[in-house]
Amino acid sequence: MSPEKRDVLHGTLGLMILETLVALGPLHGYRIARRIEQISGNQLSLNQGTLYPALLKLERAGWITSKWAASDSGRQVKVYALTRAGRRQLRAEEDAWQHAAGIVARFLNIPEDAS
Amino acid sequence: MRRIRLFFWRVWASLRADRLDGDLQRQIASHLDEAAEEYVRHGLSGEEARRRARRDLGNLGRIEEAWRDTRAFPLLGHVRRDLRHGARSLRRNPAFAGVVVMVLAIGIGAATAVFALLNNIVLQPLPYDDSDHLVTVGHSAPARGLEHAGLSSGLYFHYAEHTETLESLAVYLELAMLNLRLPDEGTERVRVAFASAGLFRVLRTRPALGRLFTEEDGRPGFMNMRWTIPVLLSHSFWIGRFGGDPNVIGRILALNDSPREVVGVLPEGFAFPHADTQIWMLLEPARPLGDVTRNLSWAALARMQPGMTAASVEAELTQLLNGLSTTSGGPDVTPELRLRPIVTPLKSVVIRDVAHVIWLLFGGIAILLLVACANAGGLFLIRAEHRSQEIAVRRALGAHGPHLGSLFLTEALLLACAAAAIGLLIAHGIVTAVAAFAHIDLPRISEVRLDPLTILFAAAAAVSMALCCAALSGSARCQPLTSSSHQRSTRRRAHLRGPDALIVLQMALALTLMSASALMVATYHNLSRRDLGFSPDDVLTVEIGLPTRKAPQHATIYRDVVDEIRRLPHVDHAGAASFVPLIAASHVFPLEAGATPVPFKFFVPGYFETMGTAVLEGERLAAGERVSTHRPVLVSAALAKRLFPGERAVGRTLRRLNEDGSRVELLDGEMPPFTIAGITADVRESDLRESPTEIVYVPVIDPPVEQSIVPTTMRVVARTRQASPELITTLRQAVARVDPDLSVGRIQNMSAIVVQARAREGFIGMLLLMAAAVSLLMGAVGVYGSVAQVVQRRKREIGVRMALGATHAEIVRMVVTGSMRAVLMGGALGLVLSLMTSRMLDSLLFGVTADDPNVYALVTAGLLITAGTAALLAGRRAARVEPLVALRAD
Repeated sequence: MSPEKRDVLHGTLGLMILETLVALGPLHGYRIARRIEQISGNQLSLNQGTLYPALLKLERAGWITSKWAASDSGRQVKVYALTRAGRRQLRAEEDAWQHAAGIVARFLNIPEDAS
Repeated sequence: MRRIRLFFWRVWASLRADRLDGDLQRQIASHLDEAAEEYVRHGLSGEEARRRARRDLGNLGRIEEAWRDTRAFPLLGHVRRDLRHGARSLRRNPAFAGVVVMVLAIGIGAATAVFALLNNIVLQPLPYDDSDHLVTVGHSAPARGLEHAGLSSGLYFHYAEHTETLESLAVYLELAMLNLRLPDEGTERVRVAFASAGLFRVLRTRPALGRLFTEEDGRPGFMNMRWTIPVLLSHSFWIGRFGGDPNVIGRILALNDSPREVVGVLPEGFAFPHADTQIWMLLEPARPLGDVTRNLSWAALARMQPGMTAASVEAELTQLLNGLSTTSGGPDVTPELRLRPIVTPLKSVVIRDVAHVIWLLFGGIAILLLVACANAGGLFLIRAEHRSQEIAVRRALGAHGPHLGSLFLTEALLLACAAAAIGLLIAHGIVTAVAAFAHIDLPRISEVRLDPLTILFAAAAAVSMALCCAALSGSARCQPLTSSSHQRSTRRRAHLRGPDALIVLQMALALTLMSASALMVATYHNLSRRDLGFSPDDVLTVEIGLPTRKAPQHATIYRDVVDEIRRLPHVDHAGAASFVPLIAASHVFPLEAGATPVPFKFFVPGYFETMGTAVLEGERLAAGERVSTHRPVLVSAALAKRLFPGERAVGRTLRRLNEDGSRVELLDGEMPPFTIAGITADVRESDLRESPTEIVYVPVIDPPVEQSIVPTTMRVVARTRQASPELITTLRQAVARVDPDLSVGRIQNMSAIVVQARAREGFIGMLLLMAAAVSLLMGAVGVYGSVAQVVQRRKREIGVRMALGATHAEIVRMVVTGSMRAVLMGGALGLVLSLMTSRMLDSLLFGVTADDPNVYALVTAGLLITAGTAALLAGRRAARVEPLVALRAD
């Protein structure tokens, strides 16, 4: 994985954004932030502002696109949507994540197997 | 691939940076609105809802920074921020910034100027194609007293036909002054070189206009009277004299009354054999008519085969020379002649020993650059100490090491950039001044300029200095900066080593430069004090040239010119001689009495009175006096002493020989000997350094004394009460009144000629002196800074000591001692360095040796006094420390 990619998904914030957009379709910043907080059961206290640089980074990588639009409440908001490349990337990331998580899980299981 | 994409994305983003940043602001604004709305829906007051929304958002500054880092090149963003910080903090401390910039600018300026000299004169190849393979070929003939003889035409043909190490070999003759006459445009003196057709092939020159000489040009033969010999013009002469007219090709010029046809113009800057050559005339060596070694007067230039060295060529030519007697059966290459080929790379012939001097100068200036760097670094170090508080605060607020480092580097780079700009101006000034010194005897000086490589050098110097300064600042920063007052007042001793090493270095360097410059100043002084044997003040010299067809009347013409000039208003005395002192002598011949050849100088009576040279004994041969001796000559006291030691020389005879040692034959038999009519005081005829010149003065009188040589060039000398521009005009008119065919050449003051004779030493001395003065000044700044730093650091300790009753003198001694120890160490190191480097000056020194103890004592004393004064001045600040203030400050 190039340093750039790792940087994008640093702290898995990027990954969470991509997941959110897959699940809910195009969204604007505030809704993405609220969704991430809800999914994590409000366990994750996000500095909501950090979302915006992360969004820019994803956009820079070509995984999401953005455009200004009116929200449900009539506000002018910037709506982010997943691109094809973003979807591909997400799958790769998920695989990698599952793989890594699997390894860690196996390690955590070792004591039981050994005993 | 990804990186390239990223790069272009960032470029694209920075083009619309404002819009992107606006995007962020709008998104955040709407984000806050929406969040607050939600809180209100949950029953919070509007005010509280806004507060919570902002809290959830986090640190706005951080967000913006992260946004910008994503959008822009992260480094650029930092650089811009650091630049802003740096500029602000430097503005707050203009004295610091000013001193650092000045110190660096002087260092960079001086170094760049000398690098320009080094690069253009020594490092750059000569402006000929593949010039590394060009060599000059000559001989030494110790048996004939000739160190630098050339080739005879016989040797030329022998070498050219048999050599395997040389690709090509060509001969030429050095400069001559000839009269150039153009119809309706009067006569002028031009500098002419005689070149064989092969010369330009060896140099691989291409003409700027027309063509060069060809083999065909030489065919008609020099005995063919109807043949118009072709000539080439220098580019500057073509522009200056013919206005760059392309129709000059085919024009016929009258050179010394013979028609010569212009066939081509050489390219701009072509400077062989000399930069001031104006016309090249074809002259091919004739097949030898017998004697192979009789006339070693051709200079030769050759191009070596690839892979050959001067030494291998020399070996081959030596072999060819030894084989000469067997191949040609010529009896003349006798072992007694001890003829030896000398092959020298053309470049070292052109730049001569100047290479040493320039390297020395560059060494000195590189040292100066180091001094400047050390000093600026020292100032940074002091400043870093002062800023320790600020830096501790910055660290506490989260600034990390690399960030602080880049901040320091940016500051240093800002200063270095300013310094480099000023330094380039200084360098330009110095180079221009050097070009103005072009009349001094520095070869290739016309080629010196600030070329791209030199500018690159200045930039590299500036950047490395900035790095050096930043590193020094950084070394101070790396100290733990938690500021318990206890720690501060008892800094570890080891910490003082940094600046102390700088002082040692600076003092050593300053002393090295000072002693080198002192030696040159002493040399210059010794040369100025030299007894010349004539008084150069108020003497004007005018070079006049005689057309060869008027040679039979030369005595009358010269006498008439001198008489005419003597009659001019404000002229007290007038005379003439075939050359004036301190300008290369011509007419050098052996004497029968002693093998060492001596110059023969032709003079028109009145010369010695004009020059102020005393005739010690015998007849003066003065203007208007009757001559009682038959075929009289004057000789210098030194020559009289050598030829007739302990005897009376007046009345004795003297016989001039041909260059090869044979007697001079005239049409009606052997030329009779001269009689010594008088003895003149010794005059420095050729060089200020030389021991008294041995010379024979031959009067140009009736009946003629020397029948086989006619001096076609004379220097009229006139002693005037007041020199004025009109005088030069009247002099020209006076010459023209006598004979309009006479050409008038250089008009110079004798005193200017004398100054020029020591201009080289003066020039080098001046540069070294400048470097030494600057490095001493910088050393003093360094010592002052170092003591000031000690005072600053030990303020609290000083306060305690004073509170406990230490006197001012004790305090000063305490803070000064450390630095003075460093000064002494530096001085000692400097003495060793000086003794090592001053050997390089040896060939330039006069009247002083490279290890003269007086010079070193004086220089060391000067250094110690200056450094001591600087230390005391700074130390006095310590005595002004108020104990209470110092203690309370912590």
